[in-house]
Amino acid sequence: MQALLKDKFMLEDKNFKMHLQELDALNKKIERRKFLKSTAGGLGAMALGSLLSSSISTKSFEEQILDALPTIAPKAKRVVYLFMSGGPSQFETFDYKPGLINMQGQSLPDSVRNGQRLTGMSANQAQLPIASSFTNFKQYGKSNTWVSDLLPYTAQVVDELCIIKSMFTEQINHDPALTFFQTGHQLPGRPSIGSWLSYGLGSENKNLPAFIVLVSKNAARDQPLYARLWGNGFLPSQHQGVQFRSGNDPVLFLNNPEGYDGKDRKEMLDYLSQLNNLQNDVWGDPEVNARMSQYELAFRMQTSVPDVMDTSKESDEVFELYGPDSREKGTFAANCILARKLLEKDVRFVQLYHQGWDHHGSLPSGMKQQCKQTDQASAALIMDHARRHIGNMGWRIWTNCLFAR
Amino acid sequence: MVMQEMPKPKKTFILTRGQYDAPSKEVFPNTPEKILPFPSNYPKNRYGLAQWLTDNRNPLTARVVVNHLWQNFFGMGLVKTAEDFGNQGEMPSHLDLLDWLAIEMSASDWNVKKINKLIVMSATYQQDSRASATLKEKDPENKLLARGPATRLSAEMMRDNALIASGLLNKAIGGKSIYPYQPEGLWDINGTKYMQDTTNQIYRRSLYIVLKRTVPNPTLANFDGPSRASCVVRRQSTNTPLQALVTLNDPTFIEAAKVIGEAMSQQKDTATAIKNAYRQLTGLTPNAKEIALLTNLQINEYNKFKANPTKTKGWLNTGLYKINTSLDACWVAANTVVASTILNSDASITKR
Repeated sequence: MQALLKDKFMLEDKNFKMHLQELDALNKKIERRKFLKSTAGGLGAMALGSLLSSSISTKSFEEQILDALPTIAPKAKRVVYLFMSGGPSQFETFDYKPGLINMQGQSLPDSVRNGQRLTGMSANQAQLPIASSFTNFKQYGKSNTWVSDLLPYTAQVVDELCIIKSMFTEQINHDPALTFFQTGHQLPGRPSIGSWLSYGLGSENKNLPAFIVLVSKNAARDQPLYARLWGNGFLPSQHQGVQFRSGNDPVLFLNNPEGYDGKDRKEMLDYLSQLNNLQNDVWGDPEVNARMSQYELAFRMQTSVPDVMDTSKESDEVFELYGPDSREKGTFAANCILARKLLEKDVRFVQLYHQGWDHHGSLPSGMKQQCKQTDQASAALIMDHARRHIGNMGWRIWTNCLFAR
Repeated sequence: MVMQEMPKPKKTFILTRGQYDAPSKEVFPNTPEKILPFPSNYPKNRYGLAQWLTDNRNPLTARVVVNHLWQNFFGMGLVKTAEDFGNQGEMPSHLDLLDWLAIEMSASDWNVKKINKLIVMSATYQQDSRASATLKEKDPENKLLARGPATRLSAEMMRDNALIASGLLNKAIGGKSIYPYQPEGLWDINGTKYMQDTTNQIYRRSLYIVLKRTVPNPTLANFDGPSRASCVVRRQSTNTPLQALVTLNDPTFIEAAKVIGEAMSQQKDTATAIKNAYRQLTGLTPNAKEIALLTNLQINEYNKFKANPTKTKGWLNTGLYKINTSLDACWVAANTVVASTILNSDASITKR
């Protein structure tokens, strides 16, 4: 594919520059494409597919590039990312290790640890005994994938999943691991993956942000979260993840002063617009209009956000699919319904955070509780997408920050 | 913070591939010789570094400092890359001016106020920010300084401007961090509780707002206040819908508008009241058309509130400040909306 692109468009040729005005703009897009192609593997390819299909007007050019792409052309346009903060145990979820049962209580062999540093949590232990899974596994689906008994709903959709068991991290603490996972670097200050997608691909919905974050309120607050995990780093701040909250003010400062309704606000903004125009008669600065258009967008958000946050019109069948928690706002299950609604509205990147997975001594009770809160709704999200025929247009990522036990 | 040198300094090593347990060559404190060789009479510790930085022979420090001050007023430094005077940085647009300001700075015993005064009293700063289309095309960034600056207020300035315009500003210097209005529950993701101030501490300058790097103050963060993950010398200046929501609905800004609205309601002549509010918020005098427009808004809002007084609730009850109840509440609310409209207009947000 690289060679083909190079032959046809010389994308890899550093001296290659077009100088017509329109082509300069195109060049910029190609630079972005190159960047997205070379980062984050699949997400970059998804971005490439999206850029090609939305931003180039000459059909033949687009077709030629699509010809050059591999046969599995990227179709995904959106991502829903379910982040299990704290680190769900692999031995109680997807990594079936029957051999451990006979090794229960034995010391961890040196060949496994390989001299790796220990965390402060376990550095003082006299020995590091092996603990096998406390739960059973069975095989599911055409793929015969092993799934733990704690995830009965996920087990039903296991053929829809791609489970990666080879992930590893060099981070031994939650904070840098989380930061690394979201930004690609353990030190804070870089843009999060959602911000990059917003920057690279922009928004398809003019009334909602491109990158929306939902944090479960029904999770144990063990490991903290930080706004920088959805921060824009060094990118312009319009690409920051916007947290939608479950209370009365879903986006910070979204609500007008009490009693002052949308119609009142519209009237006031009309006056504001006229005032800006009068002021701009003096200054003649396009920035004034740019700011006014942001006020208009803010006003549209005031209507569209409560609208999308309102799940009361969902059918009973939907609530049953996502589980009993889903009727209560702010829970993981309710956030999964919201995520589906946001994706339907073409929001580019929706990220759910669910805390409470940092288990040590409390692992058996903790895992049961956490899986109960997340299993049914995670699976429902997949089923709901598939039946609404939007499944193949998005990626779903279910991931965690630390695998350590 | 380490404020004192150890009696016997710790040895320092290069760590192989950054691993803390893989020390290699021992290293010793020094500074780049090309800038200024480290004088032998300075101790090789923090104190010596401070002396080296502020040594009159050090060519860099004063230039960097005055460039920051210049950037505060003009939106862009004489060296555009204020954070980088090195290889990757840009050359100064006005080399002699930068040198002269730097010498003034160190000769005046590093008097920041003096340099600020020098800059704002200059003919360059006082120029009209308007420019012909030709000039704008030739010099979109105003590198030639052939016109005055036009920049959006910074995060702190946005809030401070509302506080000073309304007269709420508490000018106390120093002391503890302040905890201004902030939507409830933001610190929950961190397992902590935000205890909002209940006294006039809440009206102190934004400089004193508590810094929590994991959950930054949303009012400041929305206007590009840095996250403090790393040192930011040159901020972005973005324009987002979330900013509009802040100045429209953040209690800080509603309260400021309310206090201005109350003051307007106590003035007999409505045109004068509007003119005063406009001047307080923008530093500019409104023209006849603007006054006429705002008067229409005032009447329109008043009639609306009169017909339905519950609409005044949010405007009049937001913030710690209590308005004078002997005034006509609907009239105060109408004036509050007028003040909020001015506060949200370009003349308040952009300094020209």
